[in-house]
Amino acid sequence: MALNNNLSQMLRTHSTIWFLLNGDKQILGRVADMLSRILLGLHKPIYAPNTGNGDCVVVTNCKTLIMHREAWKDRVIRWHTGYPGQLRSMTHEQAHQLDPTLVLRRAVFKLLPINKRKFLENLHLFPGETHPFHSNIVSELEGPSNFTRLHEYTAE
Amino acid sequence: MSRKAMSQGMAIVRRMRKSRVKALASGFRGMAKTSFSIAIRRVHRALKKSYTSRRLKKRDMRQLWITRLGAGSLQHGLPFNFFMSGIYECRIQLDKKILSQLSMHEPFTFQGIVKMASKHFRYAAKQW
Repeated sequence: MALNNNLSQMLRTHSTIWFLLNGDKQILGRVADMLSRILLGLHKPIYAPNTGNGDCVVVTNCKTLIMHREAWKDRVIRWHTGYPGQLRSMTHEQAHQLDPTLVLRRAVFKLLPINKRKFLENLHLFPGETHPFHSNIVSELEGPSNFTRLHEYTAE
Repeated sequence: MSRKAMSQGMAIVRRMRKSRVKALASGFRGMAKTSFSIAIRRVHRALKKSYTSRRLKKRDMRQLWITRLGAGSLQHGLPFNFFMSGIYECRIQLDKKILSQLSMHEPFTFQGIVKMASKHFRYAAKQW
């Protein structure tokens, strides 16, 4: 098949691209906003609301995502189990210790429209560096924040 | 006229009157495509909806063009508001429909348009 014909070009534009995002030193909320846009396909000029042509994203280092220090301690995840008097709650810090990917996944879930929550399946979150999708990834995403930690600054 | 002839004639008229509604009810669910008294209600609703949707379609398409233009111009480095401001300054009179089609099907032309818009944009183009 010639690489220059219309069919192959169409296949290339409409295929889903796998992105890798290093979550280290990224602000959680801004990353979630960017991810929800990419999963829905809103970053492509061929966006159509009826066809799901979003891309897949693999996020590594979810364990070192950044959120405000008070937010980790004061912001609370609440849920009701259905039984009377069973309104449970958990701070974000506790949730992060339970499952480091939970907070980011919840953020992206709430940012997606209710009809399109299934696109969360295209998002793969990993707390560390290892992930099984090395053969799928085509390109890397640049996160919205550009920070260095205090101890990583050189003496100036 | 005999009674029989008259009733047959009235049956033809009745069928003709109802067939216009039944033609509009093709593809409806259940008895709504077969029985006139059920079809007439569904057909009224369908016609009302088609009237309002002809106006809604224009709004929805414009919203879709704007979403596509925002994505396309951000790919080339300009957010949508700066892009439209630059288009206005350049005096490019292409409308959003054509611009969105260019961003989909003619990527190099669209890249040139974004470059022109960023050049003419009044404030410095943000580095995204």
